[in-house]
Amino acid sequence: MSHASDFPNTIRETTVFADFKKPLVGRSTRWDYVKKYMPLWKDAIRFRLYYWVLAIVGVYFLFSTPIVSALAAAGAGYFYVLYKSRMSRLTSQRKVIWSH
Amino acid sequence: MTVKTISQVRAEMHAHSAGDARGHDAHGHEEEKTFVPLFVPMGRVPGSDMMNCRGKKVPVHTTDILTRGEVMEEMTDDSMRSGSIGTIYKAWFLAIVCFIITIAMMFVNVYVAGVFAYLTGFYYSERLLNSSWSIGWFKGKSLVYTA
Repeated sequence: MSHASDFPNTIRETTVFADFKKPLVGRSTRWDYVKKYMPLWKDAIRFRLYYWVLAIVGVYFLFSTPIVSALAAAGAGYFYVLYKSRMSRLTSQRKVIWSH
Repeated sequence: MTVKTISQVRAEMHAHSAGDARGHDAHGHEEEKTFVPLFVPMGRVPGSDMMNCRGKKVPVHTTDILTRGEVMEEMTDDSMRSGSIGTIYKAWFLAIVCFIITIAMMFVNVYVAGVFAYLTGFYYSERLLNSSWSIGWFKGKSLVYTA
């Protein structure tokens, strides 16, 4: 089966109509799109700071105050998951077409 | 979700000629469809439309097809003169730090304070430069994203 990349110099056109309640693609401006995902980036930076601080606190109090260490380790894991969730949405493979 | 060929849809539109002016059935959910016209120049003869960009020969194109991750990586890049939002935050932070050091150094050594005053102005101008490029210039450029 031939792939589209086998014909790189051919202008192709297709039209697809789909029975779908929501639009498949959306139109926006570059600034609006970036502004939509900028809170995720800020959250990711914040949660990364939290889990590093809590991890350091957990190691620091490991032998002197184990209860603080356990709480800090739980918090570090909590914020690590939040950080990964924000980053997975930020680094999504969804296609974006922008113009110059 | 059902994908139909254009001939099938045309046949249905003729069948629903009692609907609105576009041929849609007024009682169906046809009017909820959204059509986004977009011209993407995909075909190109290699070498015919090339330009110099940072010492490299790159094809001239008006659109880029990226992923969301690549878009956000480009916009949050923090290297100086990259014209991205990450640089704006970085230059703003460095300008504030240099301003605070300038005020503190005024009571210690006025010449060292002068150096930090220069750095304050430099980073503040970098902030303005990057924000005018990435926000000001590219603010209204169109963008199509998959929902």
